[in-house]
Amino acid sequence: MSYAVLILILGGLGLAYLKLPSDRLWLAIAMGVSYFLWGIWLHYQSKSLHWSIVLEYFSLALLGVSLLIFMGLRA
Amino acid sequence: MLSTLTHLFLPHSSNNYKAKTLHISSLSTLMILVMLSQILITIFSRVVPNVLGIATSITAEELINLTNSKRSEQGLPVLTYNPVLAQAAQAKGADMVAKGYWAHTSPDGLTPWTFFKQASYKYLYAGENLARDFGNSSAVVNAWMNSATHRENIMSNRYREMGIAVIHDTFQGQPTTLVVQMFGTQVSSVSITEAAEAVLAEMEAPQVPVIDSFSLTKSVSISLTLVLLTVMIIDTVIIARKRIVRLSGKGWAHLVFLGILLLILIGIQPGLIL
Repeated sequence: MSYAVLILILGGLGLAYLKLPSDRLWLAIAMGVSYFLWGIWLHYQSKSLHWSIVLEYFSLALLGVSLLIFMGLRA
Repeated sequence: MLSTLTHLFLPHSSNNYKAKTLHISSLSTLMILVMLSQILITIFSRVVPNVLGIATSITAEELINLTNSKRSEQGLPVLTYNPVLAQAAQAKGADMVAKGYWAHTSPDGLTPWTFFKQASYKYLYAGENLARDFGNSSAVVNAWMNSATHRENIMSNRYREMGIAVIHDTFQGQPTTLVVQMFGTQVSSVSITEAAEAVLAEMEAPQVPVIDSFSLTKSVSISLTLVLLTVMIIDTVIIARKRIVRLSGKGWAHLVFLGILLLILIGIQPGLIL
């Protein structure tokens, strides 16, 4: 169920990113933030939240957002 | 060599059962490399625009033909090319470049109709389509046709003439191709002579760079995401099969994120319309 939520959120934002070129900057940030918060929430629920996990989600989200922002600027 | 590859790409005791590529330090390094590559691409596209820049093959002539072809398909009369409208379009494009705005109305309040009037085009009906950063003429017209308001301009039976300007310049700090398409019907139908076509809006031929900065960024981004996705799949499968317990994020969640990221990067196309 939690994975379905993640796919729906990221899929929806991803589609909007492709269809709304003028809003790409905030859509890219929204994707990264959503993914990061989803990860924190999931691990918090399962009582497995740890700083290294927070940093892992943060670094992956930041890398993804960077790629999307740079692509948006070049497109 | 083999142990280095194992250390980098496979969960192993040497990397605390998590591929080194997926460690936070590696992800941070990759992000710094991505940022550095973008800075380098920007610098090179400015220093040597013929080698690295935006690749475009848009011409006013093609845009006119494609627009008229779309109209013909719907049984509408073709629009006549009017060099005065092209002059107005050129002036609008030059104004956008000079003042660095991307809008139908300039920051100091100049509407598209101002440029029609400045070019002494007395219109009964007038319209404007804008586009930027597209790679070819078909992509521009297709994007317009996929937008209700732009399509309405192209397919309107109120217009009789059009003029187009294709401007290659540095816009908002980036090498850009701007397209301004203006439609109109004059109050009095004055015939335009062929001789006036010398003022065709396309003022200079585009310089096609050896490497397109958009394609380069796209290739680098897709390659990086593919590598991470592959390592992540291998990591997730091995960890699941060997039932290794470790303190880490959810592999499947990372796969979803990277998978969607990859689909976006593959699907993204250049160009904006207004």
